[in-house]
Amino acid sequence: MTEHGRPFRVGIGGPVGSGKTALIERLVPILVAAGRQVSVVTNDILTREDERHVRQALAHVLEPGRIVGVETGTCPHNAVREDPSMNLAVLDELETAYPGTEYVLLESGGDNLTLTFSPELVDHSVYVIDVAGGDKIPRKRGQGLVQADLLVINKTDLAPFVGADLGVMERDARLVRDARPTLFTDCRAGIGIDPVIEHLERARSGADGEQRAVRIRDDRGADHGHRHPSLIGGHEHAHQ
Amino acid sequence: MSGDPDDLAQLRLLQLADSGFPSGAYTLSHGLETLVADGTIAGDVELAAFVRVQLLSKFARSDLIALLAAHGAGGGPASEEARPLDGEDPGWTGVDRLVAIDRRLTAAKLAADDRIGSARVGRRLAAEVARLAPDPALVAFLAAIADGRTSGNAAVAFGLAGRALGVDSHRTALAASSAMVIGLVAAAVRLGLIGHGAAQRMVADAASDISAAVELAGNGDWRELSPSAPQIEVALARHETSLARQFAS
Repeated sequence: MTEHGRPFRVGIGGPVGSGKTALIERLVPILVAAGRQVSVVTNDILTREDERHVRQALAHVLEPGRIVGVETGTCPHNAVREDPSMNLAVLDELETAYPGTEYVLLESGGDNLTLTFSPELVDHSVYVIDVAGGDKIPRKRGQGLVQADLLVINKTDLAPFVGADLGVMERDARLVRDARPTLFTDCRAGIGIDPVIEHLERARSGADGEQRAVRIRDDRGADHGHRHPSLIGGHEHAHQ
Repeated sequence: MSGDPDDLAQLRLLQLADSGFPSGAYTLSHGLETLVADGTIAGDVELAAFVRVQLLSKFARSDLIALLAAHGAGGGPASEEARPLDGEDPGWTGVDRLVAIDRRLTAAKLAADDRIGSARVGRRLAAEVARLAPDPALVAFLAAIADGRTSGNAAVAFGLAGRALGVDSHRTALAASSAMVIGLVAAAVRLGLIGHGAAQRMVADAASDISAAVELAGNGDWRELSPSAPQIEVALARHETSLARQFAS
């Protein structure tokens, strides 16, 4: 639950290169176009590369001060789970500088499937994997993948090239994640993003105890008319 | 709460000094990352010298003095240590004195990464300890930070934390110095400079320097902080624009 007036904090975790930054760069313009005030925190292992990348990609969408990189001194999972102090400090600074912010997207890499977020840091968690890691990934479990409120399986366009069966991934994800939803995306092409937005809006309105989620129109952004053919059968809405 | 008071104070100190206590201190390398990246520190000999300079020339001459002053300077009943120093306004106690100490320490930190890192750790440490022991001095300090009166340095927060947990100032200072050494050595391990066994040897070898640092700081005056470690200051300043940024300082 969010406290009154505090933004909805969404942790976005997953292996390096799975598409966390790409997802954020797709989500933010849509949220901003819908009138949401958004900030982004990136936790990087070695550099502020993600901060730079996000700032560049969202140059005309978010003012630079709303995007902050955190150096973690170690594998970032420590900075979002065991000791999230630096992230909490940055969140305080952001929330003071930008009162009225509705979403903070907090990205953290971690090269294994165990990455979970401290419940004292985020209100909601998303775990991002990609098909190129192999379709066995969901059944490997791992607390990050199992416990996340939303699992996003990205790079669906690569599935045919790496021999990944999306049906197997969807089935295994459902098996290990109980009723928690799984969505498929191709962030590079902007496919499958709307369901993620809808999921977050629902979660946020639930967390706030208010029914103020705005149904974001389908007729904007790259999603328009580009449902991925491999997702026939409503896999995008496996949670429903 | 039942139990021997000394035992309880000791246990609280162990909790505060545990590297797992959430303060974010592990994200700071205090200039080590830059000095390793540029080849100045390439092995355990240079690392031991770095730890020694960090402890005796910088920490003991600034942060640790502020820590000891803060331990006695907070609100609530004035302790012997809170007694105004010679030439100090006798009415100037409590949170005003605490803010002055903290601001003086901020002014002694030349590099932005040093100031920002210390403030972020300090604010979180103060907030976490206040959840366990809402001592008036700690609460007043957090309010002063929230009001923008001061930034909230790690050492000042540590001093107030020790006080809030019923740990005397000497032991609090020892714990903070030990945590500093353990943190530096842990950073060296993560930078691939030394192994775990050499790391523990270095911590053990630093014991006499830690003791000396606390003694040195005990003779200091928070109005005259004089850290003197130019190479480390330059490294901290260079870290701001460094491409190697695993750590926040």
